[in-house]
Amino acid sequence: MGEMASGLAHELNQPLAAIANYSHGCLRRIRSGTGTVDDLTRAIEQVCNQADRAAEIIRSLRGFVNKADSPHQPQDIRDIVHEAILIVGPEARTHEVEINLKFMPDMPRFMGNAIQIEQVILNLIRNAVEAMSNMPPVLRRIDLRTSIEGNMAVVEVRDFGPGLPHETLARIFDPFFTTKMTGMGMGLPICRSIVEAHGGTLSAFHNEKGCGLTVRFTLRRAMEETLHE
Amino acid sequence: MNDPKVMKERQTVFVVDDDEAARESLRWLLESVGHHVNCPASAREFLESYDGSEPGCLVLDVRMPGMSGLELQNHLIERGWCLPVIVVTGHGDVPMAVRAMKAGAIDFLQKPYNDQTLLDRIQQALELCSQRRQNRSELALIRANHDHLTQREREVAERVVAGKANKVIAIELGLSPKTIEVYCANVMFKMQAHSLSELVQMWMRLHVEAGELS
Repeated sequence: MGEMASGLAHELNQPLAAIANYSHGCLRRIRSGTGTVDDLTRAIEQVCNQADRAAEIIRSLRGFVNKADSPHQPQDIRDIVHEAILIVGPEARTHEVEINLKFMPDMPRFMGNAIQIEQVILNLIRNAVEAMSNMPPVLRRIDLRTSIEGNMAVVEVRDFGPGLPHETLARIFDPFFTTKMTGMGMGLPICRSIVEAHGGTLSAFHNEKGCGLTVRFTLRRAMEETLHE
Repeated sequence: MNDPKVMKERQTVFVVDDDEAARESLRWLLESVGHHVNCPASAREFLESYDGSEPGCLVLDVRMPGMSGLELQNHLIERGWCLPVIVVTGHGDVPMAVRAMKAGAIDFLQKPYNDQTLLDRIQQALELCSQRRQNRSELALIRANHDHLTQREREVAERVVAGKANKVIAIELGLSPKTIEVYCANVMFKMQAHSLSELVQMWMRLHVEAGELS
């Protein structure tokens, strides 16, 4: 959270400093009577742009900010995965990525917020799709598996892309770190904070066999739910 | 004196920041008080365009991809450029501030900063730059004058500066006091010194030249 806050402070500082500079520059010109309407308009447009930039940063944090709101309830991971596939499926098809689902039979329910866990799954699938954009279409495949480990429900999203250099893999959960041209670097940090708020963990590692990356998260089982659905 | 337009020589405020909005907004603010501003997008771009002759100051973001602000500061020192550096950062990072100051920054500001504070610091930096340049040219003149002294004149001058009486110097060098007086007059003329204390000061400046920038 502290790391998150410091990353956020840095990121918001840039547009804020720019807004302050443009505004003070405008005031000084207006007071000394040296600013033309054209110049001042241009500067105020920049103020608006920078305010938009700040707003975009705040928007990207919405999932993070909302996470404490709703109470956790017993949830079925299958329903949530299917919901997520409904949303991301068309995208995956466009990129010619095949998604294989392997649910453990009689999977117990977990405690949590369905919308937030759906966000996590969406994010992981989208990352996996993007990771394979340079692979030949026949190799583009995502395996999504669920399993049980002690008191935890486990979800694994495995891609068959090129993987990541070690130094990059070490940083993918850092706020504002991104390998994408247009990324904000907020996806995985938000996912991690959601999972941790659910009492679970989120980790990433290279596949033992073959290429690609597995991102795995755990969720606390709903203990009163010992029967299948 | 606080109006930069009153300065004799045009000075440039260099703003080095990889964030376009940050540097262009700073340009807009600085130009509102009449500064001449140049905004390279990276430390490398600055080094490619700057030759050390243009007076001014440097406003530097320490957190930049590629060559960092700190590395750029080291380049300035290596090249013996006397451009004062103000370091700005969005990151409240004490070790970073310490390193920047050790590398010769005259100030360290944290974003968000007060605009008047920044403008005041820039004004101070520009005045410091003028002083440093004036010091340098005075020193260059002293050194050039000193180079024109003959071996004998230097021997006499060193003893005069050390506070020795003409008679003592005459004995030490095996010359007559009258001759020493002539040498003294030559030294004063060539060094453009109007008094003995002025000559002593010049001598001291030649000897502390190494610490000139501190």
